[in-house]
Amino acid sequence: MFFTKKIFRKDFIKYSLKIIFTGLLSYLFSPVKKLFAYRNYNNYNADNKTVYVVRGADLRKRTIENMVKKGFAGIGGINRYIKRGMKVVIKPNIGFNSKPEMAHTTNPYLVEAVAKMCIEAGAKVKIFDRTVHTPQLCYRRSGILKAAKNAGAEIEYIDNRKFRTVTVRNPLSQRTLRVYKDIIEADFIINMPIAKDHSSSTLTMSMKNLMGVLGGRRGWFHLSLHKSIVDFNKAMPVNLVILDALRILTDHGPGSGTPDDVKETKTIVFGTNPVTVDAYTTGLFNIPPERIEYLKLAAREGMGEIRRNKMIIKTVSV
Amino acid sequence: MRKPLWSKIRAFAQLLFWLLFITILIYTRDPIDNPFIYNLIPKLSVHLGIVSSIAGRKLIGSLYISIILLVLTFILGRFFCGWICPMGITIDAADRVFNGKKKNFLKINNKKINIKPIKYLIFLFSIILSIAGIHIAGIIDPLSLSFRTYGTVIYPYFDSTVKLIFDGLYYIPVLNVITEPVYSVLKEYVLDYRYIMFSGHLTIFFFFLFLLLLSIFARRFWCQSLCPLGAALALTSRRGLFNRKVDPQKCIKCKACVNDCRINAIYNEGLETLNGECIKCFECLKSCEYDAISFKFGMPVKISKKIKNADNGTNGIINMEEDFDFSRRSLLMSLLSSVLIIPVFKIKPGYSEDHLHLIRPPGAQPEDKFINYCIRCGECMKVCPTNALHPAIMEAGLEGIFTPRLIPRLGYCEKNCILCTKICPTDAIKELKVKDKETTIFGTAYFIKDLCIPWAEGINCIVCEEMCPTKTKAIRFLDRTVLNKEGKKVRVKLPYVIEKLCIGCGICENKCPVPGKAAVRVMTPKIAPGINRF
Repeated sequence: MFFTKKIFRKDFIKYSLKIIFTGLLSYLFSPVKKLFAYRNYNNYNADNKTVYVVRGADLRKRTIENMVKKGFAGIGGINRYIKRGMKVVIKPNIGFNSKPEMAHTTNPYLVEAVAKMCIEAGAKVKIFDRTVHTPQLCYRRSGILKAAKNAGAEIEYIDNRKFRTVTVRNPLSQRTLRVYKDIIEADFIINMPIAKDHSSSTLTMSMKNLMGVLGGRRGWFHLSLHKSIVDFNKAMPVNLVILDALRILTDHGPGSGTPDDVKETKTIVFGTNPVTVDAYTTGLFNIPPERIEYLKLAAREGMGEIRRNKMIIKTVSV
Repeated sequence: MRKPLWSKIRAFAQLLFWLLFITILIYTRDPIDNPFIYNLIPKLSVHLGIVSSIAGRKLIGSLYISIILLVLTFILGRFFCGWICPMGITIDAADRVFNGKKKNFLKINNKKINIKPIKYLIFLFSIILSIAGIHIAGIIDPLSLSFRTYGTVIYPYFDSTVKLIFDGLYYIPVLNVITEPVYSVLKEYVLDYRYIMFSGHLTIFFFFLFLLLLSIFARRFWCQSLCPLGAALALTSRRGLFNRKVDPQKCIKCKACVNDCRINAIYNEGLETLNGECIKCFECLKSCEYDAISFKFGMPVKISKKIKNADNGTNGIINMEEDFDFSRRSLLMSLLSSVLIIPVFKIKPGYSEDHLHLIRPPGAQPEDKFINYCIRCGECMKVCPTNALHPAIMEAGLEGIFTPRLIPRLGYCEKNCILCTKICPTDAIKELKVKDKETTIFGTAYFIKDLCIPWAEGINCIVCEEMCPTKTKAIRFLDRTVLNKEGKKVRVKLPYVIEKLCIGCGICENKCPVPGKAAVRVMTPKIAPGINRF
C-alpha cells in the first residue's frame, strides 16, 4: 500500500507534483475563477430620474399583460434592454405563504407577463426569492410557480451553498454581504417587488426587496435596517425595476393584514433607478418620501432622485 | 409454477412493498390533497385501532381498514407479516447481518425456550393499559414504530448524509457537471425540501436498533415473540383457511424446513405447523427437496394429543403445548404487573408545571385526550414542512413518549398550513380548515425583556412584529423615546404581545435574531383550552 511503503524523495516529489498539477487543472476549468473575477460595481444610473407609470382598468390577466406591454414600450422597448441569449434574473417578492389577493407577494400575472416577454426576446429567465416562510409552500400559494411554468421560465429554490461574499464599496453599515450566485452571474436583473406596508422600514419596495437574494442571518440586518437597505443597493446591480402596485397592502405589513388593508391601486411602475421608483411609489400610500429613512439616506448618497417635483413622471392608462 | 419460485416472488414482493413504504414516507410531505394513502400504514394495525378506541373511549374511524386486514388474515393467514409489514422486512434484512447462521430458536443452557406466548401477553398488557388510559400501543406497535423510526431517524440520516456528500462535492468544481444534475433530481424526488433532524432521534434509533439486535438470539425474534400486532393476527389465523400441508408419504423427515422456517412455526420433524405463527413466507417450499409441502385452502387439521405428548420434553423439540395455553397464574401475573406499571407511566413532569414547555400541534385535543388518541406514528412530524414538530421524550412523562411537540426555536408553525391536522390517522389532531387555524390557539408568546434588543439595548429590531402572521398582529410595538446604554435619548420601537390575539405559531421565536435562546418565547396557552378568547 501507498502509506505502508517508505516514500523516497523522488517519489515524494513525483506525488506532490501530481497533486499540484491536478489542483491547477481543476482551478483552470472551474467556475471559482469567476468568483475572483467578480467586480463589485455600481450600476446605478443616478441621472435617470424617469419613472414610467402604467395604470390599468382592472386586475384581469389580459389587462395586466397589456399594461406590461405598454410599460416596456414606454421605456424604449424590451429589445433595448434584453438581448438574445441573455441570462435574466427576475426577483419577485415571494416571501410569504399567502394568496396573491392578500398583496403580500408579487402578482403572478405580472411575473408571468414579464417573464414571457423576456423569453420572447430570446432571454433565459430564472425566477427565485429567499422566502420567509417555507419556499415550496410560498412559491405555490403565491401562484408564481404556475406563472413561471406558464411562461417557460426556470424556477429555483434557494440553495444555501450558492451564496458568495461580496464587499460593499463605501458601506453605511454592512461591509460584506452574502449574495446569491445567480444574481452575480446574471446579465440582466429585473427587480419586481410589491409595494406594501412594512413595520420596521415603513414601506417595502424595490430597495428592500433585494434582501431576498441575501444569505446569512437576515435578522441582523434589522438592527440597522435603513442603512443596510442602502448597502444592498450599493452592492447589487439592478438593471430594471418593475414595481407591482396593482394591489397594495396599506397596514399590518409585510405578512399579514385583513382584506380591508388591501387597496387596489392598479398601477405598475417601471424605472431603472430603484430609489426614484420607490420615492414615486410612496405617493400611493400618501407618505412623503422624506419620511422614509432609507430613501433619505440613498438620496444623500447620491443614488437617485427622491423629490417628486424633480422627477420625470410619464403616465399612461390602459 | 415451480414451487421454489414462490419464496423468490415473496422476496421480490417484500422489496416492492418496502419501496412502496419508503415512497409513501417520502411523499408524506407538502402537497397532500387526500391523506388516505399517506396515513394508511398505521391505520392497518388492528392493535392500534382497538387500543386507541378503548383509550379514547370512542370508536375511531380508521378501525374498519384494520378489520378488512383481519378478514384477509383469516382467509390467507399471517401473510401481512411475511409479505407487507415494513418492520418485518427490516427485520428480515437485519437477520442477514445479525444472524448469519439462521438460528430460529432461543436456546438458554442447552434448553430450547418457547418464546412465542410472550407476544400474547404483550398484546393483553397493551389492552389492559389502554383501559387505564395509557397508550403504550403506539410505542410498540410495529406499524407506528416503523413509520416513526423511518420518518424521524432513518430518512433524516439518509437525507443529511446525501446532502452533506453533495455539498462537499460542490466545492470540487470539475465534478459539478455530473454531480449537480444528479443532486437536483435527488432533491426533487428523493430528498426532503430542507435539512431535517428531530430532537431525541437517538432514543428512537437505539430503541429500534435494540429490537433489530434481538435477531442475534433468533430469526425474526420480534415477530416471533414480541409483536402485539402479530399476536392479534396470530389469534385470527389460528383457525384460518389457508394452511401448510405436508404429505407424510413424501416427507423423509430431514427437518430442512424446520431449520429454514424463519419464524420457527414448524414442528414434529416438519410434519406439523402452527397455523397462527406461519407467515406464509414459503421458504419451506424452497427447502423441501421432495416436494412434500403444499399450501392449501381448507379447515386446519387439529393437533392430535398423541403427537403433542410425543413432543413433550423430547430432546431438541419445542414444547408446543405451551403455544397458547397460558396457566392461570401467568395470566394473573401479567394482569397484576400491568396494574403495577400504571403509576410509572402516569408520573409526569408536566403535571406540576402545567406543561409549560409542551406545545402541541394546532388542532390537538386537550392534553389528557390527546395522549390517549395519539398513536405515536410520527406522521405529523414527517409531514411538517418547517420541521417544527419533534418527538417528546420525557417532556410529557413516560405516558407521552414520542408524542409530537412543537419546538418553535427549531421550526415554527407555518401560516396557512394544515398538513399535520390532515394527516393524523386518529383523532388526536382534529382536522382544521385554513380559516379555523387562524383562530386556533395552541400557545402564547411572551417577551424576555432583558434579552430583547430594543428593550435591553435601545436598538430597533422588531423582526417578531414583522413576522407575526395573525391578521391584525398579536405583536405590536410602542414608539418610545428611551435612554440607551450610552445615555443618549433614542427613539425605539418596543415590541409587546397582545395575548388575546396570539395563537402561538412560534414564528417570532424562530426568527428572533438574538443568538441562542430567543428573546420572545412561546409557551402553552395562557388561557384554558375550550374558552373562546376572541
